[in-house]
Amino acid sequence: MLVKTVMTENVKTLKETDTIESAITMMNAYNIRHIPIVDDERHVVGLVTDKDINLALPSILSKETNVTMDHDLKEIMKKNIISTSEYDFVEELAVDFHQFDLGAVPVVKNRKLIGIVTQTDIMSAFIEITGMKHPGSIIEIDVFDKPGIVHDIGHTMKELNTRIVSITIYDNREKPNHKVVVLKINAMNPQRVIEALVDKGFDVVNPYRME
Amino acid sequence: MKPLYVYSEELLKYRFNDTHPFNQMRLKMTTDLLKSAGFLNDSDIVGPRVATEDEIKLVHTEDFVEAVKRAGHFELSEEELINFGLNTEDTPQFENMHEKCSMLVGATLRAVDLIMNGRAKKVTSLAGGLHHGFTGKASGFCVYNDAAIACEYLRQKFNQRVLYIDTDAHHGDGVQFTFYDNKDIMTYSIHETGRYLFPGTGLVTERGVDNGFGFSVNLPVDAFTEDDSYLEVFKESLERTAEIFQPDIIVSVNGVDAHYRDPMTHLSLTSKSYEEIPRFVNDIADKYAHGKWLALGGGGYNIWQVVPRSWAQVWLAMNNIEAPKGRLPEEFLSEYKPLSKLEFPENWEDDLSDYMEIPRRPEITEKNQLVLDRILMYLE
Repeated sequence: MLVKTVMTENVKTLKETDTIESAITMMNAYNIRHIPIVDDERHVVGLVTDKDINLALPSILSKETNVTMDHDLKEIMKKNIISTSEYDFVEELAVDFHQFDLGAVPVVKNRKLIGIVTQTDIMSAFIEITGMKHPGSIIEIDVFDKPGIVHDIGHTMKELNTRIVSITIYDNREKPNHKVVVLKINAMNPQRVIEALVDKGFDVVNPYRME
Repeated sequence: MKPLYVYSEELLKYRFNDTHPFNQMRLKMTTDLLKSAGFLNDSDIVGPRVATEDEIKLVHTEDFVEAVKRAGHFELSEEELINFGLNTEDTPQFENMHEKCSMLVGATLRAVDLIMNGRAKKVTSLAGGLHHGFTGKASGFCVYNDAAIACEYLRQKFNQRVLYIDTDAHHGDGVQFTFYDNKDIMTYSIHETGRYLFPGTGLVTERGVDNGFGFSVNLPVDAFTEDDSYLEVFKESLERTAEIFQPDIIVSVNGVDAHYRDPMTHLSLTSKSYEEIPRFVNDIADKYAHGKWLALGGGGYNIWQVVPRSWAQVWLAMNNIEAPKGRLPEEFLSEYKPLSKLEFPENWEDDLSDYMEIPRRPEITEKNQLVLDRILMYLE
């Protein structure tokens, strides 16, 4: 999945000489938490987050009441920003988010800002990959990880004229060399599919087994 | 004013194929049960009409309606069938499907007309309730979404604010998403969690968008939820919803597939719930909706053991008749018992001989209460 497909275009930006107050106003107006700071050529020179602002302002618990919010963003913004390009993979970018605990990553082209990817966008991509937004029934199959598993499952689906909405595969942590295949299928009644899979020797995990 | 009942044998023609689990034979069985028990007279019954194309297009897109018409004559290419959801085992094309589906929508609209023209305040029309149909795609046994069309027809033609109540075991996705940005139609759906069950949507966090934010309510209950927990969270959340929204009319989808003997879902309700659910909706209609209530059918895939007795309760509730107990009418038993491959129930109430106690009952009850708490918080 390309960054291009999940990024937000038309990013709200500010200059490093803009004030903290302008950043607060912008965040409230657009319900956003990250503002890239750009120069006149739209080169990204920094990033201001709601956390940076909160750290810069006195606490509501402190006695200090004389708050000035006309400092330049330059004083509080993060520099040395990790950025990405629209043709990078979301999968890879997710590792950056995870490893460096990022909140948002600017997307640049010819060193100019063209978009932004936030944690929310990464979660949206996850929701899309798992097929959560499309109607279907979910079946989980525990498989020994040998060649041809997806072929065998796919063949069964074809025989039953049932479309797979999404398929995700992850390691079964309890059984070495086993994987869990999660299928979302476009069928209100999954029983036919379950029966056919069981007939072919698949271990369909029945979440609702009465024991 | 006496409630009315929309029915005709013409409505049994909505049938995908001989082995499809959606079997409208259950309509005839329910009607026969009510008649043989003396609860339904010919004078209570009104025939359906045919919905016009314009009426269907209140909700559905032009290209979808055209596709359904052509599918009824087997004229669509494979790609078109796929695009419109008409090539699946759930909703395969069948002969004259547009005409048969229009009749089904017409039954529901006839019921609306009866209420809005003042012929009755409450109408039962069990042929409809096809809540999975999307504006441009067939899904989950449903082609045209008569429930959504009824809501939009009420809104546009009669300026009504509609509370839609969906107690089918599956999430009422088609209706919800048709009105997701609309504040005049409030959708309420209680259903088995979509963790495994179709369609998978209906999370408690689905609350509507834009103008419609706050006008979708979803109560996903845990698998194996039993009567007591279900009724508790249902009653409290629904009453609060109705109180806040103050509807002009209620449209309900009365799927009876949350019964423990239904083969398609994993809920554990018994006849007790199906006696109480429509009676509670009846009370809500009287208390918050000027007594106006249109009750539709919906899911229900154990037509022998579950559907007729459960659906009969909808009509009985509407007529303020207490849930009957004891033996079913002999006429009904002698007609249908010989046809059933499953053990045929002989009493109005479930005998529960094959009911299994649910070992995780305390956990399930607690989880459902947490969901209820969240809904009540949202409704504040």
